[in-house]
Amino acid sequence: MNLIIGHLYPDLLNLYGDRGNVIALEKRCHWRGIDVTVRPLLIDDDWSFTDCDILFLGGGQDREQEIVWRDLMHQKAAFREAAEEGVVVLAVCGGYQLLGHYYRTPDGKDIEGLGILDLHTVAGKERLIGNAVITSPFFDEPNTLVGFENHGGKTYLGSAVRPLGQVMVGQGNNGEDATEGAVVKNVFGTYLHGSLLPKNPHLTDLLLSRALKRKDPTYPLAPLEDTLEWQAHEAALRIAGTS
Amino acid sequence: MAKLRLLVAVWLGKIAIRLLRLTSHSGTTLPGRVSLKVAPFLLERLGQTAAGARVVITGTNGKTTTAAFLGNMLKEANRRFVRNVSGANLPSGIATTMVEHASLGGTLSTEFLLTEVDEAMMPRVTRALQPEVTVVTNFFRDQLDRYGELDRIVGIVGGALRFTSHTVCLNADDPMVAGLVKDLPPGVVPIMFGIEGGEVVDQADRQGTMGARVGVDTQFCPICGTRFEYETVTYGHLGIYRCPGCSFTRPTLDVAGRILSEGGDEMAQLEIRHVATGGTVTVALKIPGLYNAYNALAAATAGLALGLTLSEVARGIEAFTGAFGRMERVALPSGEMTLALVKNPVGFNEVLRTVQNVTAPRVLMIAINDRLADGTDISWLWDVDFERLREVSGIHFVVSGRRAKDMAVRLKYAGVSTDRLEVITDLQKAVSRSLELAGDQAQLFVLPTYTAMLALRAELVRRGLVSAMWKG
Ligand SMILES: [Zn+2]
Repeated sequence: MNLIIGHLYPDLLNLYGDRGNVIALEKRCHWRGIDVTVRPLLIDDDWSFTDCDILFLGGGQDREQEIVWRDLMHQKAAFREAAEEGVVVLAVCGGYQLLGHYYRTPDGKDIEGLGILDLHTVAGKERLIGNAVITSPFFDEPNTLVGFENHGGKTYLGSAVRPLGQVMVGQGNNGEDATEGAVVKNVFGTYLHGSLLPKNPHLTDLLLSRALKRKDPTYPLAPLEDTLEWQAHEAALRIAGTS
Repeated sequence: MAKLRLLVAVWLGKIAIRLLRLTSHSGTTLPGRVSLKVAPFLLERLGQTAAGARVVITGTNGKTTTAAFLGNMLKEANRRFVRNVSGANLPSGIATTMVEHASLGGTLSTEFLLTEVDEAMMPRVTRALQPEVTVVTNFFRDQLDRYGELDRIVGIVGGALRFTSHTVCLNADDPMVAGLVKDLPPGVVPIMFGIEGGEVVDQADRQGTMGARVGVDTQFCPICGTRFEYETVTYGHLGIYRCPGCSFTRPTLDVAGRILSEGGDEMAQLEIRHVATGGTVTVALKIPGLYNAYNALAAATAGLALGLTLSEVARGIEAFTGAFGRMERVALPSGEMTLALVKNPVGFNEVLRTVQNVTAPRVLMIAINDRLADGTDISWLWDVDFERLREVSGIHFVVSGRRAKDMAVRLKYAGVSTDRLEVITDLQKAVSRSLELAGDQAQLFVLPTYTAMLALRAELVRRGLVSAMWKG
């Protein structure tokens, strides 16, 4: 078995330890004997989204994000096609906003997004910053996801997506409706970083199992020794004040 | 009236310093806060009474070390100066230092005022001090959750430069610093410093996800947004760069450094050339790391701007053995401990490079806290290149602090064997265990975040390993 992870614009979108998410996906394949290739997808290069099994899109500073936004708009159709075909996508923070219909700037201008997730984002007055914990219907116990959020935009979901979870601690999508993140098919968007995946091994494995299932529905995902990961998860729950 | 308020502010501040010291608090900011309440114009008024020049040092990394190097140079030249306590780089800390050294009549009886200044506080401080010499060391991502984005910090520092006079010393190798030239007011002269001969960049291998170039914060031209072409890189995004989109390139150097030997177990050798006079001097750096070579060079540039000779500059650098928490060497009953504050990926990577270059067995204790002063977001740990230690044998890891578990996971995913990894959240116990593991065989490196560093110092004092009085 082999998987290809496409890391979109690692040189531009590299805030908040985004790299940790890719490392987690990669390592958890390695440890199970699954061949994995991490392919940096850069601005001037040619690549095909559908060649990848998992696409990761992180967050960047405004300037970098703008460069990415411009580049991705040329590839809107190809990206949507990959999402339709069931390629697993994880988009965090700025990347998450980019997957929506539009982003409304502070001066009221709407910047078009990829329209893969049924949501839009409005620039907020204050940044929503801090430790965050959500409960997610995608898991049996433990069903918590832990992370750190730091975003200026407020995201509002449409009816065609499900939230990734409900906010226990923190602000989530917009600080108003207690939702966090958005999911449709195999596309996952969230504001949680931290890095997100290493201390949420169940989420990492969910993404991997979705990617593997697409290639071979019978391929078993072997369990791993995760004591340290869950200890970090527990510590984050404690520090966020949930226990 | 203003004069009276200034005097009252100074007296109250002095009393506060006394009281705090009597109760064995270090009191580096509170007295200044009191004084500034009474006389908000205190920085302006006291600053003007320094007989010589006012020097301001800012930038993400290296402020304290650069200021300490420069202080040593002035000492070697028998010049009198006042310098703010390391890390106390907000207006309250600067005010505390001034009050402490002011006469009861409200004047600073000194020649030079050296201040390290937090980037975000630059406008307030430069407006007050109108410094004759200003140094900008570098811009790296640091504690994003507190300050927001790097571009904004660069803008704030750029805006603050309009209050400078005479000379501004800029790190030519950092494009964001070099780009500040455009913000200088008329008549202010930039002096560019940098290091020649970094690692040559392989143009074919531009940017991998996992590569060592992860520390690169700016690869895009601040003027036109085009991707820089790097000819060489010294560390992080520092090096010789060129923008293919506009004419922006790394400026020619006025003070040029060259690393003659990187050190490892030995001391690194740095050659400094003053281009205007053609004078050259070679110095031994007592504190390792390329970033300390940059700090020495930044201080040398400021020293030369203040009229010091190259030999005074060199003696000042060689007399320096470390600032508070910045690669400080602490003698143990058997062996030695190296203490280095870690606060962002680039700084951490440089410390790891030093650890890697040591050949003796090593114990590496990493203590990560996530309090406000540390930065509450610890995601930056994932941008540190721990992968470089994966294959290095003879390192035992002890991780500690409020985020010990996160650190442990980070090392596990970097490929460090969990057999070599101990998680001891409690700092005191972690210190005991690390000392025990090091014995008299291994070199002990202790790498804490800011508040972990404070707790560690207290613990080391309690054990009688360092004295309670520390000088910044
Ligand atoms: Zn340019």
